[in-house]
Amino acid sequence: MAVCGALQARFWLCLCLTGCVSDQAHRYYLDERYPPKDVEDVEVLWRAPEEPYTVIADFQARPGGLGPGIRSHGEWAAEYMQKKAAQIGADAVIVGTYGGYRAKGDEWAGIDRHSETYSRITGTAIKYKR
Amino acid sequence: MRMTILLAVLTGACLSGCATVDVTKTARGFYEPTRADVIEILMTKPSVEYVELGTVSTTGWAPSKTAKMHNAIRSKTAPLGADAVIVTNSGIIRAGNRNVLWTAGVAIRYKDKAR
Repeated sequence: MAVCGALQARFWLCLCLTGCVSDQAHRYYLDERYPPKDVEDVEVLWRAPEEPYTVIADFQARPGGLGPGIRSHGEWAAEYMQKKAAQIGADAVIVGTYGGYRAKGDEWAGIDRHSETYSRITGTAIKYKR
Repeated sequence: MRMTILLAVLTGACLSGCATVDVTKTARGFYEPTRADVIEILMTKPSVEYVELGTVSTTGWAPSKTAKMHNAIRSKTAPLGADAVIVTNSGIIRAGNRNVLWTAGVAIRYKDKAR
């Protein structure tokens, strides 16, 4: 029983370290609400689309992880924001990752050895003006 | 489990030679990223109209490394779409047996290109 408990605790710790979020703070801008969508029907974008759109919500959170909550690689952030956007019926979500580590040896503002790290994820949920 | 190990290695490798920069977005919507090299560091409010994009803070710097710290702020606010960062507060704290420089500010985007 003690072994099972220890294994379970280790499982949840690993899950949390790779998938937990904190400081979740979201804003919804419209009076009307849209029905939820399937996650796969929501586009994930990393830039604003060319097509005209309306911003319906902004999501923001901190990624879970070791150390001060800094993570690398944006795939997890994209998955999290896509799920949030699907819950409110958005057509797409524009994902952003910000903050992170900065190597003290870096000399150029435009060259960031740790550009893949981030301490904040955001998502701007949009509806296309079709 | 693999991701956990990767994070542990990344964190351990970085802690000694890295500072941290934290950003909190306050603006509504999305702004296209800008070039870090051209972001201004301002100690006073600019006279042109602007929108606030978010807050930024950084710590972990030696007190003499103010220019490097400013570059770190430029580097991490460029993805947010900043044209400039207004420094709102800065100081030195004692951490263990060393002095550590920190700075906080507001990332802004000039209104003539806000959209």
